[in-house]
Amino acid sequence: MKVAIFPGCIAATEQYACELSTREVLRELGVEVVEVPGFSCCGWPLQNVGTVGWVYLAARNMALAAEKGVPLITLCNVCNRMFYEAKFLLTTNSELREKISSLLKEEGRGPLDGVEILHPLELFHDRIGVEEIKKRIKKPLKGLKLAAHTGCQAIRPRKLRSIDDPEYPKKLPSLIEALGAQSPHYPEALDCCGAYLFYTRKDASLTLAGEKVEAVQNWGFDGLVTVCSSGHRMLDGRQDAAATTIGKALNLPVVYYTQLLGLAMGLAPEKLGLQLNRSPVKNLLEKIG
Amino acid sequence: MVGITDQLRATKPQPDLVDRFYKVVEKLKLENPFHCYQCFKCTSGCTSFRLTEIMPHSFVNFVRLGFVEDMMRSELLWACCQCLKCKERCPQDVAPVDVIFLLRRMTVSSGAEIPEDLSKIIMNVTETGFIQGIQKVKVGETSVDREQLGLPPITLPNLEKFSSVLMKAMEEQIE
Repeated sequence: MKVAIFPGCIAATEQYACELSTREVLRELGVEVVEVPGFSCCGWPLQNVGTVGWVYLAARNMALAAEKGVPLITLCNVCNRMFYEAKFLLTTNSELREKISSLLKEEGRGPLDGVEILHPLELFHDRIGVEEIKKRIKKPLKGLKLAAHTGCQAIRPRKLRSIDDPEYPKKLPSLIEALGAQSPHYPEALDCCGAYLFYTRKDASLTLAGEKVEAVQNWGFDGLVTVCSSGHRMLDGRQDAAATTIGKALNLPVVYYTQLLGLAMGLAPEKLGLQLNRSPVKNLLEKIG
Repeated sequence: MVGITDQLRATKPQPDLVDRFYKVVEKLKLENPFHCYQCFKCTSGCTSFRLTEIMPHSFVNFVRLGFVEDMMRSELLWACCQCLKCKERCPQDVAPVDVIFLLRRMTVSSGAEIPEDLSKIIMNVTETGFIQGIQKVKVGETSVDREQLGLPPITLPNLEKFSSVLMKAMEEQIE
């Protein structure tokens, strides 16, 4: 299987552990990564100011991947939704479609259609499969209890595409359990990380992140598992700032699913970028041994 | 947010803005806000409500009653965290989040300012392709870049061309 990786702004410029661990585990699983030069932002921030601008950005990125003819894996839930939303608008609105087509031609970009967008959960759960992942485990994560954070933008709205159940997502927990750990449901599983509010209401944004981490911590989980660079930046990267905002002590290890999968497949923590996590992942690594 | 009785005393509905609003709703195939029967399901499950007092059902209601400009001017327009629960759960298939985002775009196209940090990342996208520059990140006492971590370099688009086409796209307003 061949795929291209769409890192999105946050993984490309800051959350390097996300891309690093994804590349490492894909190599280990025999999935070839095709490089695509010229990617830009998916268009998300521009959605606040107009429609044509953001759809153009989403379309140009999809066109770049379409030229390579491989599925595009999104490392950020927001990018995933923007691509699906752009696809919807381009198929239902001929006026917009014409505008975007001519803009793409102006930038010298190819086809408007044809790229398959894949969320990491779909890749690991639906394509590679839980059974196949179980076979690759060299170091089962026995005795660990890990909370799954699927993230809002991956599962809603159901009408756009259905990566998982929007009210009771089960794929990430089952992928965590495939590694030998437990991942029970918890009441705050659907709570938002606050990423989207960071640029307009910083305090509320950090409060959401802090309260999510605090809740997971209070349930006695050994750590929190993410599949999105935006959400991870809030829950791991900004955990200290969130703790200050809510005035609580937070010390919950937060890891990408790809980091966890890599560890269970016996890869070294540095190869998976665990030295880049800001939360106390040491505690978790010690438990894994 | 202001109550409907106070609202009716304070201003009059704005039919021209209502027209503009519904034209975009039609163009973008958004769910029709007029189908809302004010069950409050959106607000009761709203992530931001508890922290910012934003009430999605209220945005929809005021727009239905024609007070588009008042909602465009509301500071709470920028308090939505886009968790999309309101869009997912609405029994009438109305999407309050889409109403809020459409109002944001109408506000911007009528020349209003947008929150500073948001404006900054939008500027970065138009000039550099990403919301922020490619950073060095801390590992202990030192800082490392993509290359030192063994990641392939980011090949940016041809920025001159990228920016000029993007600016052109952004000028093509639907809102």
